[in-house]
Amino acid sequence: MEFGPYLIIALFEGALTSAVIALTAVGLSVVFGLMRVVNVAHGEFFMLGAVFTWFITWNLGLNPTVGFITALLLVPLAVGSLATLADRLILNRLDYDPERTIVATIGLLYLIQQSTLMSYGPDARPVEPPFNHRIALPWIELGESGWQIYWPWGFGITTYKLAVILAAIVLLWILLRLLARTKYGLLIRATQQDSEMALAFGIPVSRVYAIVFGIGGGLAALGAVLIVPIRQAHYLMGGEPLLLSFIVVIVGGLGSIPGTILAAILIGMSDGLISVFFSPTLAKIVATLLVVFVLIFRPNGLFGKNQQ
Amino acid sequence: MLIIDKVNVSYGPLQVLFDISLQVGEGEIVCLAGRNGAGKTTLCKAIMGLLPISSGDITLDGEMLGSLPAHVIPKKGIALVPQGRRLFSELTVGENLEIGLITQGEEASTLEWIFNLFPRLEERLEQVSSTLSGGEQQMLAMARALCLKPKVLLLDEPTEGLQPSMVELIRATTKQLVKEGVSILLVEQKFEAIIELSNRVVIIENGRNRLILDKPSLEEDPVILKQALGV
Ligand SMILES: Nc1ncnc2c1ncn2[C@@H]1O[C@H](COP(=O)(O)OP(=O)(O)OP(=O)(O)O)[C@@H](O)[C@H]1O
Ligand SMILES: [Mg+2]
Repeated sequence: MEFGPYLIIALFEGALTSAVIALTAVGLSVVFGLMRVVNVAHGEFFMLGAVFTWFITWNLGLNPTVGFITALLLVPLAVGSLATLADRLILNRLDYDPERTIVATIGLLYLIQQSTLMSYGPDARPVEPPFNHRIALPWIELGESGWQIYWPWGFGITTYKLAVILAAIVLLWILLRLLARTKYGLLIRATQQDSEMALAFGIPVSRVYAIVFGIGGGLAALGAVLIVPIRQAHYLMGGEPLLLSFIVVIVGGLGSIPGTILAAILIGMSDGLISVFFSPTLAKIVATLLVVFVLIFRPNGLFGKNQQ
Repeated sequence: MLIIDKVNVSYGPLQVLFDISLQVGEGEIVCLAGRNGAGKTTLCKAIMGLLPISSGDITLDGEMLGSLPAHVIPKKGIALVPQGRRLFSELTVGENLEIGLITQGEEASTLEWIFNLFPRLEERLEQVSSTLSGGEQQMLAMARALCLKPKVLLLDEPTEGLQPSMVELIRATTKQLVKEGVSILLVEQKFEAIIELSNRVVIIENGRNRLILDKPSLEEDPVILKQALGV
C-alpha cells in the first residue's frame, strides 16, 4: 500500500483511540475538576466495564447484538453505582482529602483487580461485536490516462470501529450539553466553583459528589464497553487507559473538559500515526515525553487556564 | 426571630467564638461589629451551618438550625451575602440567580421583585459574573441571596471596597428590605452606617460578646459606640 492510504488508516485508528481515551479521560477529569480527587482506580472501572460486558454477552444467552445493547445500557449504570458506593464508603469518609484519597484509591485499584482475578480469572476473553462489516475504500491515483480511482488491497475500515468513533462523539456532545444546559449541570458547575457557597445556597454538595463520581466511573465503563469487542477483556487491562487518561488530563489542563477532549484527540491521533508508521511502544514514549514537556513549560496544560 | 445562644465555634483545635449570644427580631436590623479577626464572618458561617458549632444553640422561629445539614438551612428562610461576594464567578448573572431559585421554588414573582430592587441586573443576565463591576457584583451577591426569599438575611460587610454612590445604593436597598419585612444581621464597621441603619449593635471582641447597644442608648450616647469601634 502507498503512503496516502496508509495515512488514512493511521488517522482512522487514531480517531478510534482518541474516542475511547476521550470518554475515559473525561470521567477522570470531571471527578478531579469537581472534587480534586485523583482517582487512581479509574482504570479499574474501565476494566470492570469490559469484564461485565463479557459477562452479559456470554452468560445471559442473548444473541450478540441484543447482548451488546443490553451491556451498553446496563454496564455503565452498574459500574457507576459501584463508583458511587466507593464514594460513600471511602472518599466521603476521608473528607475528599487530596492525599489520603490517592492512597485510598490505590487500595481500591488492587481490591477491584484482585477480586476480578479471583472471580473472572486470568484469561483474556473476547466479546463479539454486534456488527462488523468491512468497507473497502477507494483511492485515486494519477495514471497514464489521468486521475483514476482504484481499490488498494487491504485498504478499508470496519463499520464497528466507525460506530465507536461516532458513538463517542455523540456521547461527549450529550455530556457537554447536560453540563452546560441543564439544572443538574448548573448545580455541578456551581459546586465546582465554590463548594462552600454551593452549600450555603442549598445544594446538597455531598450528593453531587457521589453522583459525579458515579458518572466518572460510568464514563470509563462506557469507553470499555465500546472497545472490548476490539480489544478483549482482561483483569489487568485497566493500566493503559489509566496512564493515557492521566496523560490526557494533564496535557489538557486539569479539570477542563474541553481541554481533556482536545488532548485526547491530540494524543489519540499521534498514537495512531506513530503506531502505524513506527511502533506502539514509541507512541507511548512520545505521549509520556509530551507530558514531561507540558509539565515543564505549561504546568496548567496546553488548554488549561493560567491560574496560580 | 433568629436567636443565637452561647455559641462556641472552633477551627480544629483553635477556638474562635466563645459563648456568643445575640438576637435578630422580625423586621430588625442588627449590626455586628468588631475588629478584624473578631469572629464576625465565622459567626455568619456558623449560622449557615458551614462551620460546626461545638456548643450552643441557633434557632430560627423556634426551629433549631444547629443540628441540620448545611444544605437544608437555606430552605428554612435564611440567606447569606458573604464577605468578598463569593459569586459563582464563571457562571452568568442569570445562572447565579437560578442557583438561588432552584432551592426556593416560585421563580417568576421572586425574579420580578429582585429586578425591581436591582434593575441593572436584568439588563445583564447573560453576562459572566466575574466581568461585572464591583458594585454590580455586590448587587448580584445580594440578589442571589434574595432568590431564597429569606426571612433573615446575613450581610457580611456588603459595602466593603465600594465607591460612595454604590454604598448608598446598597444601604438604601437594605432599608427597603427591612420595610418589606426581612430581618437583617449586618456586619458593619462604619460608625455612621451603624447609627443610620441599626436597631441594635452587637460588638464582639476576640470572639466574645463585648457590648450590646440598642437604638435609644445609641442615640443618647454615641461616644460609647465610637470607643468600642476604636474610632
Ligand atoms: N479557615 C480558618 N482556619 C483557621 N482559622 C481561621 C479560619 N478562618 C478564620 N480564622 C480565624 O478566626 C478568627 C476570626 O476570623 P473571622 O474571619 O471570623 O473574622 P472577622 O471578624 O470576620 O474579620 P474581618 O473584619 O477581617 O472580616 C481569626 O483569628 C482568623 O484568623
Ligand atoms: Mg469577616
